[in-house]
Amino acid sequence: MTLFRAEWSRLAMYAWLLALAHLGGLIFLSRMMDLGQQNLAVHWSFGAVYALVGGLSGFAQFAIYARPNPWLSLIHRPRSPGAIASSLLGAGGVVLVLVVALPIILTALWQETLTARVVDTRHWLLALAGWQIATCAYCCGVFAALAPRRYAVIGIVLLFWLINANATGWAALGLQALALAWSVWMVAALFKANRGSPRTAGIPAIALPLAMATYFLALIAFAAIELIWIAWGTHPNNSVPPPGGRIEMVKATKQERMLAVLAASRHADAPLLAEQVKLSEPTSVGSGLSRLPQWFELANVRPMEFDDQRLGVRYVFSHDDGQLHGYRIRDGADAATLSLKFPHPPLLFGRLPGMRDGDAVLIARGRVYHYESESQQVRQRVDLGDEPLVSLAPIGEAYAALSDRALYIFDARPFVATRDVVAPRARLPLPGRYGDLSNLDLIELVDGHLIVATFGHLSNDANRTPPFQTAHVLRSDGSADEIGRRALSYDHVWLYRYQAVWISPGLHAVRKYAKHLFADASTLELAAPALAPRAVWALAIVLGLIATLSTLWRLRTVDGLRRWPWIVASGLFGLPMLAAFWLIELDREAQS
Amino acid sequence: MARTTPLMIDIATGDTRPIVRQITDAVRIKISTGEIEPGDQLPSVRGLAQQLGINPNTVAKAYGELTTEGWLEARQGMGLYVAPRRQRLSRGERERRLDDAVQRFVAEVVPLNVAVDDVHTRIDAEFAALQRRRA
Amino acid sequence: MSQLVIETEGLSKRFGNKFALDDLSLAIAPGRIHALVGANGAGKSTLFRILLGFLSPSAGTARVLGRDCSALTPSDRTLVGYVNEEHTLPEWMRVRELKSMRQREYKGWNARAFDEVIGHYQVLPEQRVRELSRGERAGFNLALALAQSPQLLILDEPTLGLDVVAKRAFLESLMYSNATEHCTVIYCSHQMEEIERIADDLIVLERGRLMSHSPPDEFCARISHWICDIPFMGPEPATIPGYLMRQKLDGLHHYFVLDQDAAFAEFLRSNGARSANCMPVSLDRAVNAFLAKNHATPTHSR
Repeated sequence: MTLFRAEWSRLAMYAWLLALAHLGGLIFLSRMMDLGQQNLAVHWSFGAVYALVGGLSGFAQFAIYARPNPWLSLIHRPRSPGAIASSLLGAGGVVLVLVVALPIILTALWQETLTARVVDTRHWLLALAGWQIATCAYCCGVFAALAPRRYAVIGIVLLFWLINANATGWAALGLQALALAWSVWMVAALFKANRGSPRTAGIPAIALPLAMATYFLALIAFAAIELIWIAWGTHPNNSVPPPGGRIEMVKATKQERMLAVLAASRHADAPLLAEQVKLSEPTSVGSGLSRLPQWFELANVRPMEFDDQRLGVRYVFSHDDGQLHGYRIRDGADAATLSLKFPHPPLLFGRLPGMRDGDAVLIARGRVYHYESESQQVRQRVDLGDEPLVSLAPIGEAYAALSDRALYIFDARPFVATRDVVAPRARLPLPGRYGDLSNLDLIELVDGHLIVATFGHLSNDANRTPPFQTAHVLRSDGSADEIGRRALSYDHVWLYRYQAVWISPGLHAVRKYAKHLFADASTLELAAPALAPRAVWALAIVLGLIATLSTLWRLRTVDGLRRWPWIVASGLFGLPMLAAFWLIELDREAQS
Repeated sequence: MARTTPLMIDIATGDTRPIVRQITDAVRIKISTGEIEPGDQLPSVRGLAQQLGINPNTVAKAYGELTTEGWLEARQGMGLYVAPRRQRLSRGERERRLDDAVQRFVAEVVPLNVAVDDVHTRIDAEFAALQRRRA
Repeated sequence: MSQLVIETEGLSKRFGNKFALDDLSLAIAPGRIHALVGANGAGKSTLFRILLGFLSPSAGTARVLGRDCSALTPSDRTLVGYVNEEHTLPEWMRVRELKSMRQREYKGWNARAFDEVIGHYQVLPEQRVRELSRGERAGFNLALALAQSPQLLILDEPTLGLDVVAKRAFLESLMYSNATEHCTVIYCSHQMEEIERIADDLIVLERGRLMSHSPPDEFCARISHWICDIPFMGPEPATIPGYLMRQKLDGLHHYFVLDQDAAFAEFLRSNGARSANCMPVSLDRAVNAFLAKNHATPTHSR
């Protein structure tokens, strides 16, 4: 009998029970909804449950080995620690295949064969994604059981990364595999007779998440300080915000926002336009959409299905063939598949003029499609190419469409009168980056629109542009004039705004890099952050030097190989890395 | 083939005498009193160790001492036997041991504050009893 | 195999400001049963952990079977058996399964040794480890350890919590197994009775320091118990040669001293003793007196 089989025999019972419970849960939920068409929040909930099950399994499995005597019995045998670890982690991994992956595959198989629901490649891949998330959390649980208590919980950083990363589809699977590999590396670093001092080759695996955790703790501490500041009563957010500042605009209404930029303008038309604003009810254009749907994404940005109530047919988009597949809502029987192959995965959006019962609007990047229930056909009505539209909404007699780089005004009439592609009447390039845009407010004028854009005022961090507002008049003939522009003050000092940078510019960069790793650059996130003030860099450099010198002094008696990596890392990542150094090397230092 | 003579001894842990001494003392007394006789075969090292519940090495050590002193003799490949009666110690050694024993005896008896005559009487009686047993 | 089985030089281990091992130099020759005694916290467990590579020393070196302890390879581990007081075994496994697993792992598996030891116990192959009694579990663990044909077998208080019968069975299966003859046994225990029965060699540790290393009877012989009648106060302990422990009982002073001959009587007389008598001590008392040396003892000076 091998160690693997011995461990499996210990866990098998538990694995079968959990697998059955999971399968039962999936069957129950599949009866109530199409699990394949849920949005990211639902997928997150599933992922969180898998991670929780994985993490607790890992912790429970190894908690009994972690005590000194069982640990000695486990490691003191004629096999290398690596081989022992593979046997035990392998058993845990197989358990999770059974608990997490198998029920997903069975459910998908059921949906594929016995229902008309769309099951794409991406749905089968959910089994792999679930397994990778659970196994990564499992390794973090194992790490928590084995590591010294002072840094046992840092696996959370990896899970936090999985939640925050932008990668989708295959890229997300790659990212999960990377996080899983990292968590295995972390466990391997400790899986040795003397757990108090990690393997030299494994120290980076622990040091980086530990430094990151320390960095987050520092940021949380700053947030706590701010809360106390608010409780104290002198915080700018408290009562009347400073005039001309960012916070004033956060608290303002649409009308106030528009009036504020006009009041600051010296343009001749500004007073007149202000009077118009006071008489009108402004409209806001925006979507809250932070990313576009991607091919083979594992979760939907928004539902990719719609119901033709008139025919009683539900259409679901398939990522495998790019078409809309219909089935009857009443009995789930197959209905027609629409012939159009979409160039990009479409999203369901609002309404167009002239739409009837059962019709729907779908937008794939810059192309707007109109599904006609009567003819059961999809027609293209707007063509902006690959310039992605994020919003389409009526404003009075016109339609406003917002892309990631411009605002378009369409006449409503041609939509009703023809069935052709309609060209926009006017276009206003965004006066800033879409990623910085916080509000876009407009009112209808006699011959066009007054458009006020506010950038960067909702966030206070170093990744956004310095806040400012613009006002433009966009006329029906397509011409545009800038009426006003004003910069908003920050209301916070640089020390506060750039905390994420000066605490550790290195970790700030790593965090950004990790978030975007493997992900297609989303144009919706493009921003134009200002360069950090010199003081931020000066402070960061001073702190980095303090960290480097402390490490240097601490390791003055240690030979090169163990010394220089720490010193270089402290220089790159500053104080959080110094903290990681202290926490990891505490035992080792006590020994020499 | 000669049968093994049972060695009816016991040892006590917690005694001030080490176990080796307890065994050698007991065997010497048994030989002196004639309870076991020259030519008798003693239990094997392992057998006696198991009988007493002690480490075989300890028994081996005790047997070794007894053999050196001439109480026992080893026969090639057959085991240990009680040696024929003969003078087992040199004259000087006997003197030294007697001195030792008397010194210890006196040191322990004097504090008892017993009349010297009484002590003599008791010693005589003990020796007489030994003689009787041996006869 | 003439090399030392265990060899430490200036071995120290510090936890915070406390030394668990303090400049320990120990050399154990192959063969025989070596008993290791010491009060709780004397550093026995720390020593074993260092020897097996589970702790790294603060200073000094430690070698097992000629190999540096921090670099034990899986094949070195084959040669070192370790049995602890909990008899840690996978609870969920059956006796048969665990045996066959160990059999696969250890190339030099000695089935005879296993059967010989397990024969002392009523252990069934289909039983699960968690269903075994304490004594059976200890016996099973010993059978597994001996069947691995170790060159060094470390037993850390293996009879703790066993009843009289189980304890006896354990000691017998250890002492009379043929496998024991081929290996060096380090036996750690607090029970002097056991040690007296099984030890060829006695190692006394105290506060991480090696206090004595000799056969048990030699150790006993070094310690003597003096009873003397001194009116008033006796001499200050600091001035007594070889002082270990003293007691005042019924007006008589009892002294336990180390390495003192008849001249000690002179010392006592010169300190006003009217009489001075010497007694040998049992191993139990000897170890007790020895370890009591640095413990606080109430002084009965009234």
